Amino acid sequence: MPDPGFPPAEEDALMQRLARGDPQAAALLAARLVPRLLGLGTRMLGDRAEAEDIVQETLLRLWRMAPDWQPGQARVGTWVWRVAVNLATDRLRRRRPLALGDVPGGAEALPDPDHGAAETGLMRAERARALRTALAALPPRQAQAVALRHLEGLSNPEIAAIMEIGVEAVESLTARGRRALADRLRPCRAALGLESDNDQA
Amino acid sequence: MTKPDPDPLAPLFDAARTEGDRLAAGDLSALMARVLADAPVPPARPAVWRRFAAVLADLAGGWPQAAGLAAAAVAGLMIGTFAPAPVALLWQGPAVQAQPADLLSDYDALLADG
Repeated sequence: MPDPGFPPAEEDALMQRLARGDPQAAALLAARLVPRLLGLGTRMLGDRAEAEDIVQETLLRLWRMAPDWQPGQARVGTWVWRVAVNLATDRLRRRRPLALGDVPGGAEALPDPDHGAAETGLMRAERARALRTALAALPPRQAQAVALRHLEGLSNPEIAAIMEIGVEAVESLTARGRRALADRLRPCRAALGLESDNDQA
Repeated sequence: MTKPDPDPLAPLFDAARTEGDRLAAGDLSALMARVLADAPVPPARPAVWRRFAAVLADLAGGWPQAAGLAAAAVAGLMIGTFAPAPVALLWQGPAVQAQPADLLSDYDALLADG
């Protein structure tokens, strides 16, 4: 969740202390934000090193803007999530595009979904990779809305604040993004062990 | 016949969340150290002699006055140390040797008599 858990007044006071170079303020903010931002990065990118880069870059921007922080104007969590999700989306889209059917080691490397192996780590990793590949192909705003809603579990009002749009726009972006994801992933549902009896009928 | 999956994307989102959380678990100390190394630092304090000079300047009534005082002090120190020739000429020592004064001479006899 984007709320780092500080009341707004305490958050503003921390930012003022940060601007004066108080190392305890930086440590408090980092302790709350780093684990959450790292989770956002790894869930969106599936890569720890890239996620760490995003955490570092996001907090560097927070440190730099501390002197210009306007008390009562914004929440730290909202601001930080906006920066981080933008950075993650940029990275996702810069990756070498992979076809959804591409599987490291070949298709035979996937466990056979018919033999109850769908829960293995390999299948899980492959499903996650397929989702990220499809996410990377979406328009950036759709990808952000879908990731914040379904990977981060944020509410529509929280996403609206982060993306600086209305709640209805969030609903629209999420719905269109989900439809586009489903269309892109439909051809490889069977390979990912997602074909239900109903689908096969 | 099974019920249709209410959300065909749910297993994919679950997989990405689980995989992401697994990757995020583990030691954060190195990352924290890197992040905090970039954090703002307090402005450097001026050197001791600068702070001392500032206090003196305040006492003297401001920097221009302090500068005048410092110049006078340096001039005095120079004169005292090197004693320039014109100053030496102005003071050659006393012209008349001082004689010890005997303030009780009239009472010598009295004192001797006891």
